[in-house]
Parts: sequence; C-alpha cells; structure tokens
Amino acid sequence: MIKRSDDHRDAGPPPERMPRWVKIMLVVVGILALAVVAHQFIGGGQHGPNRHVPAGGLGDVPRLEWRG
Amino acid sequence: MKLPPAGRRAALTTHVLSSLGWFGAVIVFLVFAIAGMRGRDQSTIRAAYVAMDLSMRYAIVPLAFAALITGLVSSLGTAWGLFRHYWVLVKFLLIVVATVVLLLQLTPIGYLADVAVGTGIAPGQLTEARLSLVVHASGGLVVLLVATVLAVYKPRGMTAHGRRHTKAAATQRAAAGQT
Repeated sequence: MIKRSDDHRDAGPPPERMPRWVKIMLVVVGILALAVVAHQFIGGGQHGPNRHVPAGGLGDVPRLEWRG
Repeated sequence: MKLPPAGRRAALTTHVLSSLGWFGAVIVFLVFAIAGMRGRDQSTIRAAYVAMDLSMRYAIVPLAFAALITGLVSSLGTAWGLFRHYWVLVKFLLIVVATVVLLLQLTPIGYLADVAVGTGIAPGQLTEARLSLVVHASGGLVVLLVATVLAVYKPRGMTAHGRRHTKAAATQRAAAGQT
C-alpha cells in the first residue's frame, strides 16, 4: 500500500492574512493623515484646536460663569 | 477575567446607550455648529455657541468616556477580547481617536462661547474657527457611524494574537478532554 505524504497537513492551516476591509481602512486613514499634513503646509500653520484662540488669551472678553 | 452573564448584559446595555447617545448628541452639536455658522442675528449665534459649549462639557464628553469605558469592559470581560478580533481593535482605536479629538476641541468651543457672550460674533468674524467645528463634528459623525457598523456587522478577521489565543484554548480543551 502506497502511503501518501501528508506533511503539509501537519503544519496546520496557513496563517490568516489581514482582512481586506482592514487594509482599506488603513489606506483611508493614511490618505486622511496625508491630507492633514498637506493642509498644514498649504495653510501655512499648525493644524490644532488652539490655532483659533489668540495667544494672549481672551483679553476683556468675559468668561462664561459655569466654567469658572 | 470573564464577566458573569448579568454583568455582560449590563455592560453591553450601557455601552449601546452611551454610544448611541454620543452619536445623537453630535448630530445636535452639528446642527448648532451650522446655525452658529450661518446665523445672521446675534441672539441665534450666541445661543448656538453657548449650547455647544454646554452640550460638549455635560453631554458629549461624559458619553464618550462612558462609551469608551463600557466598551473596554464589554470586550475584556467576554470571549471577544480587545486584541483578538480586528473589528474590536479597530473600533477601540476609532473611539480613542474620536475622544482625543473631542477633548482637543473643548478650548476653541469655550473660546467661541466666551466671545459670543462677551462682544458677540459678527457674521464674517472667526469664520475659520466656526467652520472648523462643523468639519470636526461631521468627521466625528463619520467615525461613530463606522464604529457602529463594525459593532453590528462584526466583520471576520482574527489578529495574530487572537489566532494564538484560540489555538492555545483548543489545545487546552483537548488536553482536558483526554484526562
């Protein structure tokens, strides 16, 4: 009786690759990151939440009382 | 550590409530942001930015933290785990990024509310800052929508850590069955 070689079965199933939807999401996140970097260069300034707030603070503008 | 069934259901219920509450609150925030951007009369603009500041501090940020914490409890306390399935890991990262961006927006929103109450905001004034809130709120909605879709559809795909864990658990079960 001829014994077939089943060595490839001993190694178990091939390792599962990263799903396509994860790769697509990584590409989208990469494009968004590039867009933010491009916006920094084109806009000529940093992209940050405090870019709209004056460096010297609020000056004479009264603060809302619930924030103290 | 695995949660008992009652704990799992409580964590999941709180997670669903806080996540959907967060989504709904951001929709309302976006409405205020557009009203503040397009409003022509001072009382509308003032009301919009004050409402945005209040809703951000007392609704959106607490809901975001509630969603993050209950999501962590639900994943770590069940067989799903946090790092075993791509959809859980990706959803967690999306929520972390959304929460960080949210916290970074507190200062400009507070600033706009202060200016609106103090000197008032003329229609053409602080346009970039006001537009930024509309853009960030819209982006936040997209991120929350993607996170919700991931939670509902649970797309297949195990991480390398998840595969190792599953294999180890199967080996352990087989060994226990032989004894």
